Amino acid sequence: MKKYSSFQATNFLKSFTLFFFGLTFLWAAGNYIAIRDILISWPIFIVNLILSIVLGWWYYRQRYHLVFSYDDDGFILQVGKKIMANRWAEFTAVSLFHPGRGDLFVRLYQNNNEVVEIPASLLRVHPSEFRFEVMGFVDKAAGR
Amino acid sequence: MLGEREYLLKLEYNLMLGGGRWVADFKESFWNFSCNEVIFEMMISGGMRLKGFALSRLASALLMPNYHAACFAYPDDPGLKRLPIMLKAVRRYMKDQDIKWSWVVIPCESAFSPQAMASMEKNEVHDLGIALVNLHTQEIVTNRSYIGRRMSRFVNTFK
Repeated sequence: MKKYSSFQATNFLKSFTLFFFGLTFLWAAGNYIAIRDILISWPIFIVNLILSIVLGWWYYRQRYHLVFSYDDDGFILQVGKKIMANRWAEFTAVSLFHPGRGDLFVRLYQNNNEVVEIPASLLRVHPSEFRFEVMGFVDKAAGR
Repeated sequence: MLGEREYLLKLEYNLMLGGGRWVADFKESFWNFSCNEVIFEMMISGGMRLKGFALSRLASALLMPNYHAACFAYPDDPGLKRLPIMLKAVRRYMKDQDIKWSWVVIPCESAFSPQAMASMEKNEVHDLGIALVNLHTQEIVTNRSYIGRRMSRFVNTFK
């Protein structure tokens, strides 16, 4: 089974920033409530930074991290904690989809017109070549 | 010389991620697209509302009509013998999917017949742009409609 996993710096930065500003706000609010003053020092900043990196990484793994594995029979796509497992035989059509910002997805259509999208650009596979590979799997599974 | 497949891949890239975005938001591409009993090598569909950030999106929503558009391509028809059947399928698909205008691109590694070129230069059908692309000489002939004349610079993806 082929496996792709990609670190998405933008999403990690988003998670880190969320926790950094969140913790800063909580620290400032807590200080103000307790002592009517806000303590600021380098050790506090460094602890905040380290905590934000740790929590940001945890949140990134929970929500955004991509792992994709596939073989002739089907694929497993994991986005954060969500896991989606499908067989190629469940799909009838394949397309290359551009939702914007230069990212390309391989879209798979099911019989009931439901769509599954594989984020090819984010996984750092060549979107066009990967699309043809997927088309081959879907055609083979459908006996075409 | 570019092969037909390489040309179509470049055309797909140009329409979805390159200069084609100035004409329409071509966002989905199908290969071996079956349409009313004929098969197109490639079909790219999209709309006229361009994406962007804040002001571009607002301007697009206020100024642009929300039309659907498509680009169909099938290779290797130097005498344009298959064109009437293909155009009939395109027209039916446009009607079914409420598509306001379409491009039909016909890349060919050999020369188009003089009759085919002449018929294309006379063709003025208003909601279709048709381009004959000679991959050997890199010559592009389009039909005379506004959509046809406009498409030539976007299907010129030889480099």
